[in-house]
Amino acid sequence: MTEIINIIMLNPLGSMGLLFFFGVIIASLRGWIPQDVLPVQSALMLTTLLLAILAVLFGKPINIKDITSNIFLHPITALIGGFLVAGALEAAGAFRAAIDILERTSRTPLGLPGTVAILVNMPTIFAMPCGRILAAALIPAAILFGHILAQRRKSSILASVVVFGFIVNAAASCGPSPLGGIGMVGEGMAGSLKIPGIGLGSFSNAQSIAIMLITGVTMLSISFVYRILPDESLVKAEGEAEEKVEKMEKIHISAYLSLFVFFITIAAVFILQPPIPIQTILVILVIVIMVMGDVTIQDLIGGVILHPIMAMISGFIIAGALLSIGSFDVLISLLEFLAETPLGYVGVAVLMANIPTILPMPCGRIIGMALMPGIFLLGITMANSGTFSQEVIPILLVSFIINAAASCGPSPLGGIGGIGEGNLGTEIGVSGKPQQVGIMIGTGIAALIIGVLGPI
Amino acid sequence: MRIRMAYSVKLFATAILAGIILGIMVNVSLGYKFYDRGGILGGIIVGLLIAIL
Repeated sequence: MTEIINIIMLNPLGSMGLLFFFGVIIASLRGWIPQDVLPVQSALMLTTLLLAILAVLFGKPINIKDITSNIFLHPITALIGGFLVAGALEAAGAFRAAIDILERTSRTPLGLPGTVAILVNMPTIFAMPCGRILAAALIPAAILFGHILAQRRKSSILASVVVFGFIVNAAASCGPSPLGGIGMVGEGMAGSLKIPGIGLGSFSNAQSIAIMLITGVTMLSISFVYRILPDESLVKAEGEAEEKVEKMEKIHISAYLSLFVFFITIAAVFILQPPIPIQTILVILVIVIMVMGDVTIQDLIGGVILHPIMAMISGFIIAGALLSIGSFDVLISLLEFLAETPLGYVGVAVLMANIPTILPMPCGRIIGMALMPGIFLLGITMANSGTFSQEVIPILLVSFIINAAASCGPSPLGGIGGIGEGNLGTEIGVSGKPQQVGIMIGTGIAALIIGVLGPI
Repeated sequence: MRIRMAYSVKLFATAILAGIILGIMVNVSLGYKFYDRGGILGGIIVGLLIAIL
């Protein structure tokens, strides 16, 4: 206890920064700060302002450059580019074409289980910069297949299994996205240390593979443990409505072409790794889809979701302020103290990697961006302790990133889980626990992949 | 431009294994036999797509 007090008294300003940051997060989660009055992103911006005032009072004013230098433009601009692509694909009917392909797939030897396996993983396959894009676009398909399965197998719970499996996959899918995903920031940080094999894109595969297993575990836990039963009449109505749309709507060939061009472009970027910024490639892709699919500028703007952009910026800004006033130094000191308890460094790392799901925000970028520097510093501390190699840094970062990315699923503050709950007519927040179980397992899997196999 | 040779055996092996595990989990959670070929094939396709993209 004395040691903790000493750590806090050594840097009172930094300690206050940490206290205010976690205080705002917890107060938002508990509903003490009403989200319809002051959303958590805005609360964090106000906290930054408060910290800036406190810093002046302590005689250590925050330099504006300290904050702005922590705002990484690359993922923000990639995120905006990704949203424009999503808007173009939506308007061109590409997502409808994807649903149509899935329907046809269910009549092949893959059957319903194989089609569901592909459907629930489509958000990670598409790898959009925000899970909400595919969650909104493909939830009708998830409900349709859930409804069909529930009817055929005479088990209404299957609708929940399919929908929430899809939802948790959508929530986590922004982690590995090359279109401004959360992983890009961690890859950039780890890459700065010139660890062999670590660079932009090096965390994607480990995350994607872990997300597949997060999805499976969530589906199993709903089916056997949490047993979330949907409102059957609502599912039936929505399923039948979607079936009607499927029968009546004619999908133009340009919709399939747009989908095809999108996949080919993403694959080509990964295979060829052209020396062109991803943002440029995304703009070219948008233009191509606009021409093919007769898409307007309004359609593109309609694809932009401000929520994750603001979450990312507010996370960067508070991180810059916390860095500037020494809050992360206090955090590292506290974690080093905890590492001397039976928890050890490994226990501390497990705790820190799972903080985003313990404190789930409506967008993983809030805590993801805010605490990423702290996680990075923890990794460096562990590497310098002599017990761990430098590989511990990417292991810790990828675990934290996948956990942060997926954490918006179970968030009670308007997380993606709410989309599934609303559509199935279940109690609000009921899907949180099964998602958290899946995410915890997936966090470990991601760490294992990087730790054992390296960046694959 | 260089062709990326980082599509390693490790990546595809891990992705396919994860796909098989996913397929088994999907089969069981939907009330099918764990070895139902649809789910496992679907999982393998997901693994391959994720590895390629």
